[in-house]
Amino acid sequence: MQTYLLEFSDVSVSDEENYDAGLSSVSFTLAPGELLMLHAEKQQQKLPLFDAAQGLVDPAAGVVTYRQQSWREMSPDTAAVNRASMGRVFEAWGWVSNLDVDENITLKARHWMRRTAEDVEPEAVALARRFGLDDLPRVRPARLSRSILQRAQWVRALLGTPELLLLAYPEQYVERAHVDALMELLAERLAQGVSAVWCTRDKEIWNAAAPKGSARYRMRGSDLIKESEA
Amino acid sequence: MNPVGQLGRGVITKWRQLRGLVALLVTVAWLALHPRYWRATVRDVLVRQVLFTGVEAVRFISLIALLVGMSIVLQAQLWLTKFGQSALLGPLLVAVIIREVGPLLTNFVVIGRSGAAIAAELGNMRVSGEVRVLDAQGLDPLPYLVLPRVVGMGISVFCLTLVFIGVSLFSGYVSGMLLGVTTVSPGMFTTSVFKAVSPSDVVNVIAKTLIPGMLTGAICCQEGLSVERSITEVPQATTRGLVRSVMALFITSALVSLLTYM
Repeated sequence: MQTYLLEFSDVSVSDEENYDAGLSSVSFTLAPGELLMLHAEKQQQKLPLFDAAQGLVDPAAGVVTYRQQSWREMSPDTAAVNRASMGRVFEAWGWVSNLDVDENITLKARHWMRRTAEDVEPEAVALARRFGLDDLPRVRPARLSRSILQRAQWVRALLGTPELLLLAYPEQYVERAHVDALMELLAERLAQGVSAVWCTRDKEIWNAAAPKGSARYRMRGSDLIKESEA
Repeated sequence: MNPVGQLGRGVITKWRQLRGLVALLVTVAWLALHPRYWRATVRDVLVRQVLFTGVEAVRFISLIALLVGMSIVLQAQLWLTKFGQSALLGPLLVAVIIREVGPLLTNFVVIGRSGAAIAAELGNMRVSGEVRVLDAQGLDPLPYLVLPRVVGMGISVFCLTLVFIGVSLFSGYVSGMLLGVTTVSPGMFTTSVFKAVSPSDVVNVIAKTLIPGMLTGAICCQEGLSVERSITEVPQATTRGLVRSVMALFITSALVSLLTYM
C-alpha cells in the first residue's frame, strides 16, 4: 500500500482568514519524492493551501494528514516537530524583522537540530552560492532587495534535511538563471525522496519545473483541478 | 444595550482576560521548569531581553535612584537628626526604600520602557505575519517568544531593584554628608540599614520584583499577541498592556505587603 507524506481529503477552507481565495473540497496526495506543480490565478497571492498543509489553519471541512496523522489529532509538540521537517518559501513577508537574515536562515536548524551557527553556516553558504549569493546576508531583512531576500528564502527552505518543500511563487523577483539553479537543486532533492509543492503563476515555470511524472494542478477560484502528469 | 447588560459584558470580558492571563502564566511556569524548552535559540532571546530590559536600563534607573536618594534619604536623615531619632534611620530607610519605593519605581520604569516595547513588538509581528513565519518553522510562539520575555522581565526587575536600592542609599548618604546633615560614619550607616533588614524584607523584595515583572511580561505578551490584522490595533494593545500592568503592579504590591507584614 502506497504511503503518502501529505494528504488532503475533501478539504475546504474559507477565504475569510485574509486569503485571496478559499479551498473547496480539495483532495490530493503527495508521496515521498513527488512534486506537485500548482498553477495559481493572477489575482491569487495568498492561498490557504500551504497553511493547511502545515496545520496552521483548521479546515472548515475535510482532513489534512501529514506523515499519516491528522493535524487535528497532533499535540502541539508533535505539530511543531512536523512543521520543522518542512522547508517553506512564503508567498509574502517571510522574515523575523529583529533578526539578521543569516540568523533567520539558520534559526530552525539551531532550534531543532541543536546545531550551532558555525556548524550550520557552511551548508547554508554553499546553498547560497548555488543561487548566486556570495555569502549569507548579515543584515536585517528590511535592508535587502526582494531578489536577494527571495533567494535567501530558498536557502532557508532547503537547509538541513526537509522532507517536504512548500514553495509559494519562489520564482517571483528572481532572474531566470537563478530559478534554473533552484529547479536543478529541486530535482536532486526529489531524487533523494523529498516531496515538494511548487505554486506558481508563471505558465512557463509550471511546464518547465516539473520533472516527468509530476502531478500538475490548477487553481480555479477555490477549486483545485488536476491537469495532467508532466 | 442596557446598563446592566453593559456591566455584565464588562465583567465577563475582565474575567476572560484574567483567566487567559492565569492560563498563560501557568503554561509559562510549566515550560520554564522543563529544560527541553530552554533550547539555545530560546536562551538567546532571554539574553537579549535581559540586555534590553535590565542592562540597558541601568543608567536610567541609577539616575532616578540618585535623585530619589537625594530627596527621600536626605529628608529622612534631616528630620530624624532634628528629632534626635538617628537610630531609626535604618528601619525607616528599609521601610521606605527597600520595601516600597525601590520595587515600585523600578517596576514603573520597566513597564514604561520594556512592557510597551514588548506589546508593540509582538503586535507588529502579528500584523506582518512574523509569528506565523515562526510557527511555520516549528517554533511555537509560546516557548520561543513568550517564555524568555516573561522570565527576562522578572530577572531584570529584580536586578534593577537591587541597583536602585544601592544607588539611592549611597546617594542619600553622600548628599547628606556633603550638606552636613549626616552625622554617622559610612560604616554605621551601612550597619544600621543592614541590621534593619529582616528575612521578611528579603521575601518582600523578591516577591515585589519577580511577580510584577513577570506579570508585566505576560500581560504585554498577551496584549501584543492579541493583535490580529490591523496596524492600528498595535497602539491600542500597547496602551491596554501598560494599564493592566500598572494595575497588576499595585494589586501585587499591596497583597505582598499585606501577606509579609501582617
